[in-house]
Amino acid sequence: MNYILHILVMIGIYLPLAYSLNLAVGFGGLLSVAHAAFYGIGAYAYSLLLTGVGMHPLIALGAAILITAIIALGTGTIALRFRGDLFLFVTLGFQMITFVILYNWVGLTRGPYGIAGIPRPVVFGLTLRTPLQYAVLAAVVNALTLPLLFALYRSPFGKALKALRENETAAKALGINDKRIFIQAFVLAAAFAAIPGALYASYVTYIDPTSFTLKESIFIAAILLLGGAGNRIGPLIGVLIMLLLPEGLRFVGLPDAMAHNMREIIYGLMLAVLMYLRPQGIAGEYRMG
Amino acid sequence: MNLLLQLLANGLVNAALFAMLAVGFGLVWRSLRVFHLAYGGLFVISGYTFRTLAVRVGWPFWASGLATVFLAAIMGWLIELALYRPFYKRHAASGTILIASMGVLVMLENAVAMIFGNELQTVPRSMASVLEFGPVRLTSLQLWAFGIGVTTVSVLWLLVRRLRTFKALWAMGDQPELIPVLGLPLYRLRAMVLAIGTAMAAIPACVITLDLGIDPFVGMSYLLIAAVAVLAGGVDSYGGWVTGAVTLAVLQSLVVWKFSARWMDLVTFGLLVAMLVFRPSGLVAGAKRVEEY
Amino acid sequence: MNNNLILNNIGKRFGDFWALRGVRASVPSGKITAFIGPNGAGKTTLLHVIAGTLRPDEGSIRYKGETLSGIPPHEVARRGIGRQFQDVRVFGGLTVLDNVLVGMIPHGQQDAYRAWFGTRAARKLMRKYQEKAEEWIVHVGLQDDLKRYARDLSFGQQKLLSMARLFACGFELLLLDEPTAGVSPKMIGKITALIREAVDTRGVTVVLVEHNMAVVAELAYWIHFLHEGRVAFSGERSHVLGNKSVRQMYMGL
Repeated sequence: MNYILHILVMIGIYLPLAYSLNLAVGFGGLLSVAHAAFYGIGAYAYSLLLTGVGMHPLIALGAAILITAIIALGTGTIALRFRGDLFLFVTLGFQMITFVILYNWVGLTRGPYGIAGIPRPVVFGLTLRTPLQYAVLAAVVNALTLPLLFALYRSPFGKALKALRENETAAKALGINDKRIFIQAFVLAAAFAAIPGALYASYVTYIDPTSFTLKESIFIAAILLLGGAGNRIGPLIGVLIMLLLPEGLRFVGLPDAMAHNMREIIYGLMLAVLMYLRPQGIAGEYRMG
Repeated sequence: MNLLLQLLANGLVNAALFAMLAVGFGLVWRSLRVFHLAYGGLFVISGYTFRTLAVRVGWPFWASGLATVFLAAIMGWLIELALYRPFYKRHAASGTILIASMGVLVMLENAVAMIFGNELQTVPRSMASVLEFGPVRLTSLQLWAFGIGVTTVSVLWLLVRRLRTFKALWAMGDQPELIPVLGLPLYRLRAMVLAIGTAMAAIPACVITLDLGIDPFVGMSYLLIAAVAVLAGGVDSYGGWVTGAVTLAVLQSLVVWKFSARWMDLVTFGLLVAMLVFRPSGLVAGAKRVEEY
Repeated sequence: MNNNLILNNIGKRFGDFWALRGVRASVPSGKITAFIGPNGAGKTTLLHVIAGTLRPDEGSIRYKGETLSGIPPHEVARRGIGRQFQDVRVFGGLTVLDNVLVGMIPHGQQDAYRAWFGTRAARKLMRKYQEKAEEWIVHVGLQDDLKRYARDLSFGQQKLLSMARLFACGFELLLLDEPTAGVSPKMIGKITALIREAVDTRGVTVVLVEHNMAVVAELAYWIHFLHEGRVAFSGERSHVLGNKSVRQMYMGL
């Protein structure tokens, strides 16, 4: 049972990650591999403020979101000078740079030693410890966060963003300000990734840079590529497949080390085949290019 | 000062290796307009092929190396058949191909890991002899690497300048539809590019395997080195790729000298971002521009 | 009669090649001005320059007394200049309704935070825009396709959609790049009727780039003939159509 609850918590962490990246990738057409960097910045900012400064968790969360947003503003300004593959490479560069800093600036982030002892949240005097309590917390966080993202999706902002994605020149010819709309999408996507960052940090109570690598960014992007982007159902399907499939494989009975490699092979194969057969993913509305 | 010279010398050796990697990657980009991410996987497979031939089968290093390069060319050809060509025929968007080749990279790495295990595998060998040039000490292996690198890159450069086939290849990158019109065999040219490009990765793969060993997951790192060298040096120019590789290698050495080895990746990607931001003129041709009409 | 768009000695080059040189023209408001000429003469480049996608290397453009050259495309659009593309460029992944709606929303309303802090008045306004958008869609004859994705429409239908999109946004000056290219004769009739209606009933100014000389003859008030980047001939319609040699040489009619 605890096992199932753990899966639910992980789903609860990856849903906001997928839905936030969906804003940039699915609605904006901006494929980025920097999302894990923002996830990590959120996690680290939250954890450091909580353990180092002793801030109240909600304030630490707010500050973490703000810090992530500011960094995203800087990165986005540079990255959004480009589109397509070059934009992707800038986000790649940023992801790698973030990892290097998290790993090597030991004075700030404690480097490879990571941050331990991240306190669990306390709600009305109750410290959330059990998996069930955490699953409920994750559900609540999602219930508060996802509607905000959905509101963005269907708003005039969301429509303008989609128009830019579909045909940037035509959208600009209608007066839509590409720079302004794109940077808002990029920053918001990053800011919303900070929330699951904090959730994750307080769940596992120990974080280190290896959770926030390029591989992780690609994983989150793959969720959208597989499940689909540009709407509300794609990311959900993507998260369910990407998180449940490996668990399903566990029961097939391969030796542990090989199971991991097998999972990865299937994952790689799925990506390649899907891009060939169905580039919009299983339930997506937007197809790359 | 002596340390600086030593590090610069090491940097030059690396530059030769990086240059081969960059040129292979750049060649595929320039001709096919794809970012050949599976390159990383083929690098790894080449390394393991070399090791298997040298250790398991017991061939001398030079024979194993040659065989590996040859096999790598074949693998490149196969990747074109199995991956890039089907997508080309479908007129797939470049992002789609990028992701698919990423999937293939993951598949290749993990298949190798399943067969050979996840750990580093080295090639048992006698200690390489060390030669001294004043304050600088280099192993014979390093000198070989440098020599091979300079030779290969120069020979390829000459071929690229002189042979008409390469002019056709460049034209292929710019206007692929023209190739059949001009009566040139598009698919054969594509396969040739992939073969040469992969072979260019196999040479440093053999050297690095011999020197340091190989593990299934280094492919990504070397792929990124190649990609950064190409993007930062100037996407469409052979000289640019080499310049990018040399700059990268030397910068890495300088960073190790001034700061520490830990910050090397920061150099790589800082260089990438800096070049993209400050020198986009080298990157406009063939790159996706913001203003499209 | 006003000349609200003035092209003053426009020059644009790509490397050593001058796509446009010394282009001088005034576009009278409330009328249709046509630019004709062979392929490669620079007509589309001229539209790019007016629309702000390209910056002129020489000369300037003034619209309603203000300099237009050098401002970015979305700013040009916000000054009231709309543009239809030769390859249409509808938003394939949006519905027909959203295609028309997205340009109508005032630009201040497009910021992200409005999604969360919209007032009731703003929502009422959105409903009004939606109604107006639907009216325009009906007006061009696409009422059956309201909920369809624009990418599923035929080319001719997409052209109608792009016109609805322009009209709904209320642009005062329209840059039309070969609006009747690639569609059936019946559709050509519909499109020219819509253009004529916009000019006659709403006082829209039109800059028309066209290859179809019959359409030019029917619609244009003023005709400029572009050849190798320069204006080789300009004239008012009666002047051009009434003069047999001019008609034959420049329009092939």
